[in-house]
Amino acid sequence: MRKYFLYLIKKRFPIYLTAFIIFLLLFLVVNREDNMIWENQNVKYLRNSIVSVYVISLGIGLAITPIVEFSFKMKKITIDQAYSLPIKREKLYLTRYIIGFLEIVVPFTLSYFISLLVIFPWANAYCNFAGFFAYYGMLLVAGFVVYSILVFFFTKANNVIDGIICTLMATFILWPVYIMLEKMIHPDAYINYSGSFILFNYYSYTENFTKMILFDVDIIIDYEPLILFSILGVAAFIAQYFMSLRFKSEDAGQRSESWFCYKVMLPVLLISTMFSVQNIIVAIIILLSTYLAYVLYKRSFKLDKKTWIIFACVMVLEITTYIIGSAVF
Amino acid sequence: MISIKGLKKSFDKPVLDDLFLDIEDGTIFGLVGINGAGKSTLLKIMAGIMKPEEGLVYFDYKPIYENIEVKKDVFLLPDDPFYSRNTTPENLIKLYDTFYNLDKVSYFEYLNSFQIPLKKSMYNFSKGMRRQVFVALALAIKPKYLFLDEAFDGLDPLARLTLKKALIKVQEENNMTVVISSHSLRELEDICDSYGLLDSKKISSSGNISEHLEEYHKYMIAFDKEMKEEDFNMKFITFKQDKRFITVVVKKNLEEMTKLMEEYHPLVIDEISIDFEELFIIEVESRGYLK
Repeated sequence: MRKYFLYLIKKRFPIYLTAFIIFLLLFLVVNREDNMIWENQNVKYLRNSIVSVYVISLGIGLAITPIVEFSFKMKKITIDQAYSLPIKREKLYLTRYIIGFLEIVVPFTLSYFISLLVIFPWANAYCNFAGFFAYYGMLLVAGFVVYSILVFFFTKANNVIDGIICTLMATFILWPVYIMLEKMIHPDAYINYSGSFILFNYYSYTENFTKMILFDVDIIIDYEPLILFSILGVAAFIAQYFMSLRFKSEDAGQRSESWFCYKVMLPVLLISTMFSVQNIIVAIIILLSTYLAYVLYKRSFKLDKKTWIIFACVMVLEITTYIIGSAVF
Repeated sequence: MISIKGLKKSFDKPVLDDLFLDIEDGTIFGLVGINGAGKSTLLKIMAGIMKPEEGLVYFDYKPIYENIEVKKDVFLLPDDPFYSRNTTPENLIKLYDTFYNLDKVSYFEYLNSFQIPLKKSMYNFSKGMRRQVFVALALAIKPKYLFLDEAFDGLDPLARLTLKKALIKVQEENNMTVVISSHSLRELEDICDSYGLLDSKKISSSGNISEHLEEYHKYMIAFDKEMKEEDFNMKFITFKQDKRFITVVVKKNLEEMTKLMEEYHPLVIDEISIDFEELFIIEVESRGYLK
């Protein structure tokens, strides 16, 4: 594993270098003194984007990396090569997992601290500069969680397109479910949607740090979603490790039949979304989009009996939960 | 020794079922079969890439699947190995050098003998050139067990000859066990000690090639009139008639055949050699594929 790790590090060096240059240029261009300082009633402030540019660029980098590192399992020719090598599968995937994370985190770290050195002379006077160090720690932890979740869902697909769609569905799936649950528990209350997006969770944690850096206030952390979010990330990492033992080379390029992809997520998304839709046109658009997603999944316009049965089971389960939940709450 | 016991593998339908095969150490084994017979699948299972639904592949009584110690001794060159736009013959070996004790001197010598440019992208190579690079790689790895899928595919006659010579040399020097699947049966006949015919999801026929060839005899017989198959009171494995000449394949030696033909008064009986390709066609025809 160590030799393979070192081989990949050397092989990926151009990616590391490119990512480093992109990050550094982005940070230096966005975080310019003339761009970041604004004045109100003769008081100078720093713009939020001095902090958010880091979290957004790291998020985008971590979302792309699973495609770079794990699309090898989506093609017969590459998965056969990988599986023919004398390395255990869990170690193969673990090495790729670590390499993928480092691929973004190492260039990000270097460019992050270089950019801090550059902005320090003019930004220090307007912010709690030490907060950037705590912010970096938070970015690493949240980044690990997001990366683990994205890798988990991407690798459950058998081709790259399905992988991207599965990852997107996983990112958004909590949103309609959350709305449905909120409607069930608090039918008349205002619904705060942002907490339901996996990636929004990642972003929302940074807001507290932004306040700490810009306004020198204490951090208020809502531990409940933070713990839940972290558990989700660690669970995704552990599940990915053990499930990688079951990835078959013959599945590469085939339909993605994992329970963590279309099979369950499509009906859950459709049914949950329908609960929150009141406009008939929107409902038709959602139905058509779901059907198109099924066509993409099954590679056929006609859906087989098994697909309908699974769809019906998920629907019955979800509606039953809704009815029971409404009665209890 | 490679020992395959009760192998079963299905995709949409069964490809291999209850397959048994033993391959002796230090031999070159030819795996033959029609397209879609499951040769590549069998080689992938033997290389530990695919997991069979039932059965196991043992190397000296040790199963290969997820067994790193065994896999270190095995190398499969698939019919369509992976390379990217950035792969050059020079950097191709970096990955394999990580896992195997690769003989770099031999590798570059082979490439030199094939006159392959080292620093050019393999993406721009012809199929034959790419094959030559991968063959050089396989030979330079010198694994204890080497599996070559469609080994001669895309190679010109000179490259085939070079490959055969190099393969025999490396095999003898290292007491390597080689399994080759190919449709170039004449090439297999030249280098293989034994063969296995994969058909109907099993190894339906196997053994020593020359011994197997000795079982069959091919005769060209001339008569003074036209003779049809039904005119003979005997069964032929194959029967072809061209005016007053017939060409037949039987399991009888010349003495027996001459005796059997006496009553039909042949003018001439000539035994002609039969090669592995003809034998394969006979075997395949007898199973009702080409008729």
